[in-house]
Amino acid sequence: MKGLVIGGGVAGLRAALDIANAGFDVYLVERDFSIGGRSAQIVKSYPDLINIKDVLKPLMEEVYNHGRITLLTNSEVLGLEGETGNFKVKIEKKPRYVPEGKSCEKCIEVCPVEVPNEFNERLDKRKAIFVPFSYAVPDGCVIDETNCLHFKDGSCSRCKEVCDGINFDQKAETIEIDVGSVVVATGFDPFDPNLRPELAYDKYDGVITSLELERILDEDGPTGGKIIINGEEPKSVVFAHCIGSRDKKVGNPYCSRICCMYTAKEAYMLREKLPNAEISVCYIDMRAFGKGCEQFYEEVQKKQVLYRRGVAAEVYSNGGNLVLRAEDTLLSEPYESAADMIVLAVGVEPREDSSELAETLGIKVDECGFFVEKNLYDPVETEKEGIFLAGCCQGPKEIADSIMQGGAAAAKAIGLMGRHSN
Amino acid sequence: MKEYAYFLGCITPNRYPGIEAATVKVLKKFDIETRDLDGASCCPAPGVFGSFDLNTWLLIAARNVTLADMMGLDVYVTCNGCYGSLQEADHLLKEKPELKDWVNENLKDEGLEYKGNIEIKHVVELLYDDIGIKRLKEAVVAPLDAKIGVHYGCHFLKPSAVRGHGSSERPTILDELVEATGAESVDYKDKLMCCGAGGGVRTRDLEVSLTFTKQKFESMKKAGIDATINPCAFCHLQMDRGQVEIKEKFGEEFFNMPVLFITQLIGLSMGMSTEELGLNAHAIPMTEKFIR
Amino acid sequence: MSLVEDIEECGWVFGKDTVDSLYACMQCGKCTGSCPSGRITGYRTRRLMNKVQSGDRSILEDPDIWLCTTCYTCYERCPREVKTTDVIRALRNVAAKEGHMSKAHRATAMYVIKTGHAVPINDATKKLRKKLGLSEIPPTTHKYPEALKAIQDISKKMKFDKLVGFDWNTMNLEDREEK
Repeated sequence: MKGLVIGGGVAGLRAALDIANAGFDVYLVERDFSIGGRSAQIVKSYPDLINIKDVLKPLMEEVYNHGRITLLTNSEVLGLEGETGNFKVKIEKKPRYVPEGKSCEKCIEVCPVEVPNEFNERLDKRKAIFVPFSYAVPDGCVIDETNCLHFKDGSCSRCKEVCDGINFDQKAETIEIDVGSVVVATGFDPFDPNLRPELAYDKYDGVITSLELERILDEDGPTGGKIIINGEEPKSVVFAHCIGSRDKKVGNPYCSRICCMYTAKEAYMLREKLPNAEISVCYIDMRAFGKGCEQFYEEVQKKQVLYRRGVAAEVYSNGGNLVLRAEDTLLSEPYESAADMIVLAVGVEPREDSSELAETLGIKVDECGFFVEKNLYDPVETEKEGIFLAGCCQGPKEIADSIMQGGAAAAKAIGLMGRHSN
Repeated sequence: MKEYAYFLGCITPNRYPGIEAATVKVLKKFDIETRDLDGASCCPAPGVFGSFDLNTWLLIAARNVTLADMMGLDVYVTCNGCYGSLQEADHLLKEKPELKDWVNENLKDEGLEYKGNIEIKHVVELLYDDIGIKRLKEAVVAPLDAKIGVHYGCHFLKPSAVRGHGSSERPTILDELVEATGAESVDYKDKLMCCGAGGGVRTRDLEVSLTFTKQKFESMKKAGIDATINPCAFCHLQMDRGQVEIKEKFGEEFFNMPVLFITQLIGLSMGMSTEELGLNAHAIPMTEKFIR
Repeated sequence: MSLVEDIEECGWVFGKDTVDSLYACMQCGKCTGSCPSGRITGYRTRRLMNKVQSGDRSILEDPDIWLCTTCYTCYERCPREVKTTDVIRALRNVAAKEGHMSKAHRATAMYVIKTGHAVPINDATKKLRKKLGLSEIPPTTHKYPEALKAIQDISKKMKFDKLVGFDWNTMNLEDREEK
């Protein structure tokens, strides 16, 4: 009996490896060109500041090289039938047009198309033929057919002229697999801050999201790890908590759980790079509940990161300078804070298409769009036997918790498949 | 031809009749006929009378709506306060049957019955939806070459769930109307901020109220704006007369910024004269660009 | 009766749910931070919600509650969807009932009782109206005495005249100590 894991982020990777290591063959289906998920965009963990890449890269490679794991990237689950122990799953495998493996990247040089680079949160550009990110797995170039001129109007084949390996004739195929269990680990979308227009995210380049800052902090990122906003190093930075979290107005009444601490971590990393900048944080309530988190919060405060109670109210520009308005709720005083850079700590949202996937799989979503676990006592099961949940698709959680839940879901899947095999 | 009843309110007919004249004329050019709403009163101001006694507020507002209801005509307004009052009352009465019963019980002696068959419109909706940007553009004979600071006023947009003009944070409807006249709508700091007049603040604390206004004019001056336009007679008064009052209260120089109601600006673009639009009766005189 | 019950009663036209939305306030300060009045006055929307939640009646005497222009910015942005502006208006109704109504506000109310308009017509405007080709007297309560009577009947029926302290004999405001 084989297993299926949907989603190649940390939760899905953990689940796939655990199932495979228990002696079951497992399919890992990933929608993107590479596995790694959101975590690949993150530089360090909190509170212990571990380099994510040091942990994630070996995990991704282990999955890729594992004899019992069949990795299907650029693939999506289209349908599921049957019942526990005997699911039939339809999967669409889309072509990458370039063979997997290390590439010379000459094709990238000749490609005339430039589009925003999603991995770097659109802060820089990539070509239509590109390597998803530095340690992508599978390695090598891929072609994004929605932007490639060959697929648009047939007007270009420059990459093929420099590389024999490229094959424009590859076609998407639909395969059907038989599996005994399914772990759903499809992750999350970050909140779109344009739904809070008063924060002027779309208006000013100095207003960025926390995920954008994460890319700016990365030595492999678009600025090579230099903190540059509008061509200059910021002298003042304000972080704004709870953007798209605890906010009924945008349909997200829940706390995203991770933003207090990832902001603390980003503030810490920023302080290392900008020793003289003014750094402050607007918060409603500080939630530092994880192991070691309260101590880390204190450490960040001691690095002269000023925590001011009160949510960010609005942002305007005063002739080039950004100004954030808020109330200091402890002083009961509204204030204005000039800032070169304003970082919006965007919350965790269910994937835009989570309801569709839920329908495909026959599981439920809650009123916010997250997948629903069976009950308190069966926290990784769903009401549909044989389908398990892991990571942020079930609700916002940090990397460590997602990995833990991936392991828990795998254990349940292994148990179930073991029972069916006997 | 379309027909509407015109709810005048207080400031329009009793202080700035130029708004009334301009509005009726502009609408008529586009075959929209205006009917008097005989016997209408103060709306009454939602933030003022709504703050004193909500029962009185609702009954008087409901009476005004009912006058139009009984004429069988949708009603339009040229003041955000009137819009706020009448539309909020109408909304509450349509939503809550117990309120409708209470209102009708209390209006019975006046021979009135609220049925809820009409809609409360702002003249901006008539311009934008009934006439449309395309026809407005076609009617321009004397395009405005000016930088305009749009002031939306609060109750035109908010509460957005009742008003239904989309996000109150990034409206474009008035900017589009301004640009249809050939003028340029220029962004300025605190564009969407209140003029300071509402909620009884102008009456109770003129200085606080004028401080709002002053801030808006300072931002508009900084943005190089030639004149400000608005869709609200009360904001209009606050911004026109307010400039004189700011000089009196704070001893500062005049901003000397012309204040136009949206239909006055459109009237100019259609070749109407400054005088027939009542613009020369404003506290702040029109500058060259607005004299026809 | 508790303060919130008083507010519910005065704000019954909005419905109990609207007033009770104030219990959801989490004290984030979005309202105060967005408030154009709070930038220049002592008015603090968040604190007002806090005081109402805790039933602190001293808020009724606080002149700052009258510095909200009802611009609805806080109302639009509140992440817990507290109907702030409605709560404030209903709260002011309670304050007015307890006699906290400024002379200037009473005068505005008086004009409506007397003329049907908060801002009645004057001679200068009559002249201007004529010049603009409009009727000298607008077709409102100014023109129709029976319409004005309807407004006055409503004022009496709702005891608005009493609330304001309107004297029908002098057609003016009664002397009243300003609280």
